[in-house]
Amino acid sequence: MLTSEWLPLLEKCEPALLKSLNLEGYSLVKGGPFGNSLEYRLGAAWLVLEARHPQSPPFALRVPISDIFARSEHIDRLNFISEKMDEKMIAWFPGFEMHAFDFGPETGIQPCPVMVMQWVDGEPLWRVLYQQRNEPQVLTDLLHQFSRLVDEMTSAGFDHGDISITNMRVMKNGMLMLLDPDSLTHEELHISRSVELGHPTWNHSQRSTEHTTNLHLVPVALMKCFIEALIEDPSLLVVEPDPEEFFYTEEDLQDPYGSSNFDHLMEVFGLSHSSKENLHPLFDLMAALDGSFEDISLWLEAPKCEKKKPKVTIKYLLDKKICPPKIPGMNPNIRSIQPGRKGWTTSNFAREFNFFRKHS
Amino acid sequence: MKATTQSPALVLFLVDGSHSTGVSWMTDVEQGTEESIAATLETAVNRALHDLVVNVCYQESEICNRIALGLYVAQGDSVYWGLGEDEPEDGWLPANEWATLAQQDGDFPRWFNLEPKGKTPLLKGWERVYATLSEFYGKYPQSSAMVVTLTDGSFKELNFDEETTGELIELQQSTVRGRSFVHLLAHISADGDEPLVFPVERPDGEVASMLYDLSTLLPSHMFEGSNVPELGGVTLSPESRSYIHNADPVLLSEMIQLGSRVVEGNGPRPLPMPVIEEE
Repeated sequence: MLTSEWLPLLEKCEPALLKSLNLEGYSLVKGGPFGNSLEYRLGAAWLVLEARHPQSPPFALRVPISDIFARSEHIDRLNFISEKMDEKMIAWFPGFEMHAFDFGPETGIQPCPVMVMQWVDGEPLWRVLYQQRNEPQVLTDLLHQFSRLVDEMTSAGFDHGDISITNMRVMKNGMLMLLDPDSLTHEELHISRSVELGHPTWNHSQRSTEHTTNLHLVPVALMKCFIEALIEDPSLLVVEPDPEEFFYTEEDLQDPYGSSNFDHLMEVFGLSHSSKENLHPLFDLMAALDGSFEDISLWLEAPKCEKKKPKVTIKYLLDKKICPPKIPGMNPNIRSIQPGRKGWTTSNFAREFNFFRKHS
Repeated sequence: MKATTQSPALVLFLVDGSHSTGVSWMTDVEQGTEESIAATLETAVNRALHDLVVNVCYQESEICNRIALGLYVAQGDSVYWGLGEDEPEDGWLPANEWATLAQQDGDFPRWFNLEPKGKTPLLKGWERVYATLSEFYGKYPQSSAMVVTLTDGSFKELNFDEETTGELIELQQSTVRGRSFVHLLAHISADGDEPLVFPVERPDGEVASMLYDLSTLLPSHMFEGSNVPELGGVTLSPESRSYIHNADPVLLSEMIQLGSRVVEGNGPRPLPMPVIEEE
């Protein structure tokens, strides 16, 4: 169903919808492009509305634009992801719950799924990168944030499936947040197909809807190489970019060795095509893009944390009783400390030591 | 101070390892038992780490990464990593890595050994600590942090002029930028000065006032509920600064073990029960 069809229907159903979602006291923000409809964000799959309350945190209400995303198998997957994220206390993706509401026969889906998601206040990553391009420390912090987010995502068993510049927001506290749950999966789901292909400017050209655990490797490497290069050379974003073709084009990714954008990155890093003996992550990325998608893990792989070799076991630590210091009053040998009174007695050695220190 | 796996808290120890911490003090007046300040520091830090593992990090058969730990020793002309092996690139270790690095030494786990020698490059130490803190906040902007500075305060060699002091305080403030942060300072010199314990007013004296300025208020959640918190027989108030000067071994140990009381975990957690040691 189109946005223009959804908006009047949502306006009509607003009180009943909010009540059914236990969002009494909330109202949908009005505005829209002409100021006379509901304010909305348009995703590829969902229409996103903002529900606000004078005292409580805002929520994003999402209704499906395409019926692909309203199919029961997809809703089951979203329900699983929602519960799994809650269980793992995920902080890199806004929490959400799946509900359903009967909007009537006009939507063609009865009842229609409605996603209630934590509202993310923040700026899109592409805009922050452009606005902060001359602030290397801010960019370095963002790069840390991004690496940490990916580490947390993969170590918790999740795979976003569609990491791209438009799916990331920078919150006011500097934290990065991924958005768009439609390709999100978890290893326990054993998904074999993705519902989305991913944006062609952030993915290997041979990527298909087949789900593999390597889906994030190319977009992550593209993002990291770009931000690292931007730290060195702000002129990479000299004009405000189009988020749909932020830096890399589809052609760049299809032919990295013939791409002027990749040449530009090599120049920033002081690399040349003939200097491959200087190993650099950009070379790995280009080789991965140039080869077949099945082989990308030969070139790109998630960083492995180097673990310290344990010397004691957890059991040993738990079995040992913690001995807090002796508590005055409970142990007659230890005196209590009274404010204003000297609390310790110097030993003979201390007196000699201090005397020596003061007079030497 | 919140500590969760998503936003782990950072605990950073900065320990004065100078020669003067080899001085002994009386740990038992009646029995005349003496112990070096270094030995007291070592024991207290190890107990505090054990306490953090058992009471904050352990849950359901595993060590959760709720407390990142850095331990630095200021000694001689340099500041070195105090947890054995190589210094981690980040400047701290996650709990699942540091927790099991203890040595089985006698009856207790021991992460940290201190052999007093040389001078105290404490200014360098604080610079290292704030740099580590800044890195950590870059990675975990919502996290809390606690710095514990332990020194016997041979401050004459540190050239604490007004400018240095101002710069240090400014460095701390600009690093922390209003985040959840506790700086505990224990100054345990054997200079015979009157003890100053969790003061509520800025003390006189150049060094004491500087250390008071560097110290922070204790976390407000410690004062929630009906119990009035106390340490070593000293009642704490919400205005108390986390600074002690010339404490005795008991109070020093208790202060270092504040760690698990300062951390607010994911849910209500009992405080460690005091155990009377067998004499």
